[in-house]
Amino acid sequence: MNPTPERSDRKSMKRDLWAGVALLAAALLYPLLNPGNYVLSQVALLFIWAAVVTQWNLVFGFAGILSLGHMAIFAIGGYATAMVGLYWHWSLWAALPVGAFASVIASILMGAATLRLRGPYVAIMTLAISQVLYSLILTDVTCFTHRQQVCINFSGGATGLSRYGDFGFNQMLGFQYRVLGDYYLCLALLIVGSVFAFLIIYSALGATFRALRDNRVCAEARGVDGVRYQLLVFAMSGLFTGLAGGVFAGINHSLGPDVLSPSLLLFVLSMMIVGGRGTKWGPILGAAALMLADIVLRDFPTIRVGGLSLIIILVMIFLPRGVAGLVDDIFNWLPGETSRSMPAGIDFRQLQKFRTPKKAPFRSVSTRMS
Amino acid sequence: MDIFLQIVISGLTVGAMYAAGTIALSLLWNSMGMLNLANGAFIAIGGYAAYWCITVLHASWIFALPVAAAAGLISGYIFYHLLVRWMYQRADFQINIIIATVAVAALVENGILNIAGPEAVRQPFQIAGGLPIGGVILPYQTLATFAVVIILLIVILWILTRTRLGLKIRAVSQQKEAAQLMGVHVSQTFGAAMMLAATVAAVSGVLVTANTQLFPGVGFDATLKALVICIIAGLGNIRASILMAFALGLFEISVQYIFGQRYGFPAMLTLIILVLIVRPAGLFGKETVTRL
Repeated sequence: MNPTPERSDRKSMKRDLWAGVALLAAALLYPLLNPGNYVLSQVALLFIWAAVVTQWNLVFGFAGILSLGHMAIFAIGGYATAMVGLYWHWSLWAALPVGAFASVIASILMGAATLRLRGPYVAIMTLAISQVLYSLILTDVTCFTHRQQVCINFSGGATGLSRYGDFGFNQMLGFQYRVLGDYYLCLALLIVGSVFAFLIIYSALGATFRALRDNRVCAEARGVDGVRYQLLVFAMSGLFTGLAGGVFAGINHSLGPDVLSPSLLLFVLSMMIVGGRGTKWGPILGAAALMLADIVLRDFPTIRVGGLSLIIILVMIFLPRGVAGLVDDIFNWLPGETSRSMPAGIDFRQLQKFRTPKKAPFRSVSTRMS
Repeated sequence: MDIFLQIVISGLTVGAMYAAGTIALSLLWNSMGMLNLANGAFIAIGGYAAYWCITVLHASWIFALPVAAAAGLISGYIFYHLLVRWMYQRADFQINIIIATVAVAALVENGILNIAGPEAVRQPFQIAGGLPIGGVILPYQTLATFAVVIILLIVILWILTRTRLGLKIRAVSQQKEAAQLMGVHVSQTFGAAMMLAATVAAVSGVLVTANTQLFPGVGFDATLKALVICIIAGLGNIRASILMAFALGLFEISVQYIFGQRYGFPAMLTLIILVLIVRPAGLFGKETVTRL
């Protein structure tokens, strides 16, 4: 009656493919509606956050490693890109791979530091690492170089780095269409990152990560090398996170320690929670939902953070599987069928046939035997 | 010699502050298996309650700690019944509660920011002066913090080991289902543990804010450091975390003196990462074996 796992897998793969194509077409054609530069730049930002959350979800949702230090990896990618542009005067296009490489290294180190830790220990350790990075950058006051008698700290200090060049869309497309370049660059980042994530999720590698998440001891007993795969998942998620950091630095034209602030961490984390942790489309749905909420809340700056945290709390209480879980339920809902997420009540009449037969009177046994 | 004494005294001051922060965290981890990142919110609530009590109501300083404790008790009750109660029965409670409490911490910080304003103010609950020891001064504030930490520790251990409530809390933390079958009201017990922890956090908040200043985000750093200390001591081990708080306070101050102010916390963290690589469950923690 139930489809075999393989068939249902192929079915969901097909559904994911069509949903992806539809979303991609919508995103590609959206600028034709001429929504204005402000909206386009906001949507470009949405693509960056969605790309970051997609990669974070690999570690947090699929491999089940509770890393709260993902924004540190994002920041390292951005800072490395910006620093290479600033100090070595490279074009940002050439600096992007350097930033991604730095992120992969940082991500592997973070994975190695948390290798033997479990659950809450990992969360606190990674959060502390990211806070240390934040405070080191904030308190950086020694001069590294000078530009027109202005002291520049190595990491930019509290003011951040700026004037490290950009992707050159101004020259290529002209000032008016510059934002289109940003938009399609971010879209390309999201597409490549998401395809990468989906390939991992559907491959044997993804199954390995899920096995480690669901039951580490059993997975290791079946021959999965937990150490190797933990480092692998950190390295993989670091790659596109670093690229996203570099792209963020490029289109933002300045990069400050804000990217490590607790409020941004909360914002990006809430995208994952609202979308649905460990679901395939959760990061993109969550990023879209949170950007919408943020645009509304931006008119009330005093309660912006409070509103975002209230959204997280409400979603955690009422939608434990996030928006993606809700969408899934709606698609799988059939009239007259009880919800699948709820365990069906046990019908004891069904179990009666397994009952050991009571000692029956002699006659009845003889009738049955005859 | 003077410098050495100065470092020891500053280290003890910082250590006492950290120790005050760790008690509530250990208590909650012990009873509910819950890592409370909203501890900072209770610290801020306690600090602001004491501030409000002294400057707005012009009450005597004697009332500061009781008012903070009451504020903590009430906010712990609200916190439990609005949020924790709905989550602790679901799967992945340990993971989800971390995220939810981060959100609560941000919500409370935002609320205080809107009510009290962003300015950093001086906590009026402070004892001036100090005891001169061989050329350096041991502030009375440090002594008071010591005293309150020890009193809190004794009260908590007394409640946990000698009272009926403590018996219930320990029963629930060991075997939730078995305790329920024996007639313990699990939800009520968790609620009581939560209120107890929030009260302790609020009282420690008054002490923490007396050493730093009082601003809406005051609890976040204190909580992060307290969490890191709890983790290096082994989660849930109250006595070991207090010991580690003093040890790490001394370590942080010495590093700050030798290498400079900004390297204190990073050095502490590096040390902790190294310790955890060797002993993943902390120095005094037991490796738990999960049953499959």
